[in-house]
Amino acid sequence: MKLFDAENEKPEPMGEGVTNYIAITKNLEKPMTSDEIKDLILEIIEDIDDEADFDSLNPDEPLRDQLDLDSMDFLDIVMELRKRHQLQIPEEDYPQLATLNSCVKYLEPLLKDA
Amino acid sequence: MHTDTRRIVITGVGLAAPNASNLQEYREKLLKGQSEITEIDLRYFGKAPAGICTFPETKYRKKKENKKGTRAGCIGVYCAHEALADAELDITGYDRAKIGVYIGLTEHGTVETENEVYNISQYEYNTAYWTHHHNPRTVLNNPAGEITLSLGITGPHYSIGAACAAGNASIIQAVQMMRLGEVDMALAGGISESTGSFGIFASFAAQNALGADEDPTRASKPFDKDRNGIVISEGGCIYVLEYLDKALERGAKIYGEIVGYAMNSDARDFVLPYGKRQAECMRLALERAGLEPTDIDLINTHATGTKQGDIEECKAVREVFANCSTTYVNNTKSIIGHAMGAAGVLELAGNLPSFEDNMIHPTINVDELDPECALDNLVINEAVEADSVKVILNNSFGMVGINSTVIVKKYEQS
Repeated sequence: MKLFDAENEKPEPMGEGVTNYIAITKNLEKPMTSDEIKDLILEIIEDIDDEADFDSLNPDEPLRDQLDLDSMDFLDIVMELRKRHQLQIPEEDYPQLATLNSCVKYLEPLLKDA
Repeated sequence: MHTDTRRIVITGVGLAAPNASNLQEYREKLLKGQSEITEIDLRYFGKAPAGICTFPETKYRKKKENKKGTRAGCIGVYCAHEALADAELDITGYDRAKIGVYIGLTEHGTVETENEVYNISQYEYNTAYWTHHHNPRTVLNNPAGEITLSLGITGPHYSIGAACAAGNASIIQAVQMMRLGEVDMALAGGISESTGSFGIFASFAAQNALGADEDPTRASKPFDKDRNGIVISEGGCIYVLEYLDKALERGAKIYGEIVGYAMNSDARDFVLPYGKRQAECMRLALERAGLEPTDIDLINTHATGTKQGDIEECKAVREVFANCSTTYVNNTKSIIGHAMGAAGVLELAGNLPSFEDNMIHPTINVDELDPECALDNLVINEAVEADSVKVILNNSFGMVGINSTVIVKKYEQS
């Protein structure tokens, strides 16, 4: 059963109060540097929690413990990577996104190929 | 299980209305007939009058949690904390496992589903982009559950789906659970986030039941000859319900005692209301309260501003209160719009201060009273002062033929 007729319905600007779902797909023109990948991750986390404190963040310690992120927040990061860079990260690879540095290590080759 | 028939009273009120974020401000604006209905622009649908709440959303919960949850949850968390603060109640005085959270909803999940379908429309309807938040946001217990998460309450929580009778239904559920001894204290109320759904507006429009006016503050006009439909509002209202003896023991302010209630079904039509059953519902509530119609000082009507709905309720009120010369009648939706699942509780809350000041807030936007709605003692456009207000009867009715009546009595030490 179709909820909407995809062919005849053209998306229009979102209504007021709908801010959770805005996603901009960026096609990479050049490979991202490790600093850019760090910024990307922090930008995504800031979208999840704009009060997140990055000042004392240890890049080798788990993000979840330091930034009070739960499993749903973590899935937000996975979803944003999918939306922004069309990355499909399999569940078995999730542990590789545990720390900021492990994110860079895991994502660098993937974003080079994007 | 035991049956506890102790008396149950309202000791705290927390609310988010389209014109106020606490009871005092709300009451002042109701007495002045001050509507703050505005115009919103909905995706696909376009412009419509609506009631939008502007309460401090991060007073009790971080923005991050508000983003994770729903608008209904955000409203609910605010109202629940405000109710406890108003009751001057530290919940550690209760066993958290014996506190119940009962939230009335007209609908839930519509807003979140519409938003998500729109979201995946940006990705060629690829469901890989459908959010993992969808299920926890749309489960029907969501707003009640978000309240327990915020307050660390481990007793039962759930929602009561009862269309626009849901606010009253939540009070009734809480009273029943307290009388069964299932819980020692309850947070009961109703919430609406319906202004976020284009589909709800479009459906009322398709029914020719969506209110409109050049001036949005005049769009909701129950009983007026030119009324043309419902003004949809978001909002919430939650009460702290306690046993009378516990409330007295801790010296709590007592807003009123729940002395009677009833619910029934029209068993007749999907959307058209039925005055005969509404009258039966009011009579049953009176009978359970051990009261006569003449004992009621104020009837807060459900009337939503639709042609037939208002007339049916007026027929029912005339039938039950035929010889009640001192019973006033008013309507709150004219000022705040129709807050759907929150309507019953928000409307009752706005009238509870009448026990203190004997003032009756008006039904506004009545330029020409429809003769079929010309009830005796209908308070129109200006507040009036009654000799005394000791018993309020609150009606809330909903689609698919659901009726509810709650009767609240002023608490007086005997």
